[in-house]
Amino acid sequence: MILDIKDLWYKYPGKHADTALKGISAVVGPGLHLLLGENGAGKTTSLHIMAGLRFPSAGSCTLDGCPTGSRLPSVSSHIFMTGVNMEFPAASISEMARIHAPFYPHFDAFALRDNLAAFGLDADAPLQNMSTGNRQKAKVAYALALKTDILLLDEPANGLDIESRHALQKMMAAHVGPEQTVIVSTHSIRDLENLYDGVIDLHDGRLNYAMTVDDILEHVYFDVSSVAPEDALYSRQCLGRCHSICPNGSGDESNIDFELLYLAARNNKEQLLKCLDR
Amino acid sequence: MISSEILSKTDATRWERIMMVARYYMPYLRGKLLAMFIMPVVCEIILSMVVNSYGLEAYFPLGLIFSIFFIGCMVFSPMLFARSRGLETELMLPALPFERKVVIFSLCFVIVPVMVFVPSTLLGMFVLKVPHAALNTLFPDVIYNGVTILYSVLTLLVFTASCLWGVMAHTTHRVVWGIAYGFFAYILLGFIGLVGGVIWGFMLAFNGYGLEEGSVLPFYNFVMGGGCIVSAIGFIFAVWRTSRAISRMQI
Repeated sequence: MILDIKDLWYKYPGKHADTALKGISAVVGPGLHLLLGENGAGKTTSLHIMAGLRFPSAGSCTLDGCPTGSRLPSVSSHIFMTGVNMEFPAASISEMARIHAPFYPHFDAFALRDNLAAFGLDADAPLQNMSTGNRQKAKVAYALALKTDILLLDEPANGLDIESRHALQKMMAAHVGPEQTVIVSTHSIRDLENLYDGVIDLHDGRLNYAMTVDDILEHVYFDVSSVAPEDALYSRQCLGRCHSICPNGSGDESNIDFELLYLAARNNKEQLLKCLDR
Repeated sequence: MISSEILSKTDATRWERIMMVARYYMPYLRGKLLAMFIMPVVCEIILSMVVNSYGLEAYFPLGLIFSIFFIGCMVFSPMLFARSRGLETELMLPALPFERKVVIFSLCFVIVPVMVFVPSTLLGMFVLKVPHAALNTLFPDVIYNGVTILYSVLTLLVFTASCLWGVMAHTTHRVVWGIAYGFFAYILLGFIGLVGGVIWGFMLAFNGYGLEEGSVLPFYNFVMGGGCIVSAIGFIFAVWRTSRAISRMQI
């Protein structure tokens, strides 16, 4: 399923309220996408609009041609979102599976059991008695088991310990199917960095770029050396080595460094976007 | 039983999905609904014990307090939906807004009033045989007829609908907003009632009627009929606004 965002604007209600999104356009297809942006860039607001929780002030966000804000069952049964500040209404995950999961046709009870086991959680344990980290794990485990075509995760690794972050990575690799679109908004880039297929970068309510990792690597090259290359778009020193992002004129292969990409988009935006053909 | 696969593909109203929505709300509502069923029954038992021990005089203070409590249970029943926890999940629920409205309106306007008033009244009348004092001895100046009862029911429905509107029109402090909207409707209807009463008084005075019951009744029915119409309009308006608020709710 294709999530199509066209010239999306969102202004919070109120006379003097901020405009959170300013004309975003992107087409997001299946795969695991990293949603990047500084605090207040509009990441959570855009996820809310994709989930149909907010209505655009202008523009549109459609899933296979149908607005997500229509909240029609044929649309909303394909979308689910969970985030740090979103609480589940049920007392336990098993209760969620009983009262909420029947709305989602692809819910996989076995996947839920496996996910909870990987996190060492009990499905019947009261969510209110859990620590923030465990509650977060339970929510992510459940969200992944719903197997919706569009899954929106807002800071999924927030509050998770190191072991659980590894478990989350394995879980995502095992349970996200090729037809699914998962958008992960996070500042902890490294947690799932080997899994991302695409990047969406927001800055001050505007879209910098939305590209697949392959497309990005076609245009730029990530270099680690003792001295920054002359044509580097952006460089930074780390443990005596110089990490740089350079135009990829010769089609060299490299591994993507999301953090460097993020910093380059903030420190040398014009050059980077020109290099990315945006 | 229709499968969720088929249900997720249809955007037409389905009873199966309405039942699923009701089941979705039920774990949270179960305890509160049970309390709304048990408390009036307990009140009725207490009332029967008091009246049987102390006589009919004891009915008035206690019966009045319990009546106000029952009415409060009904008018503020929308508070059942006032929690903010899990609101996002509720809004993302793959069900039509209309299906959610059916569940919410049925609970507030049918199930809760029935649970509050019917079992306790039946228990009091047929099992405990509480000697309910006649209403006209409680408020001797009020004329009790069909129009009065209709007016009472309609005003209660207006307060309930206004409270529900307050709850559904906001995503934070929903309890406070629910109470505020309910009281605003109460004050507004009270003001309209006051104006109606003044008009009634002037009409009586200008027409030279005395206060004999026979001559007052047609005017009373006329004014109360007007009150019924105003209440009915208020109820429809509040339900319409609530319905819009449910459809357009954003987090």
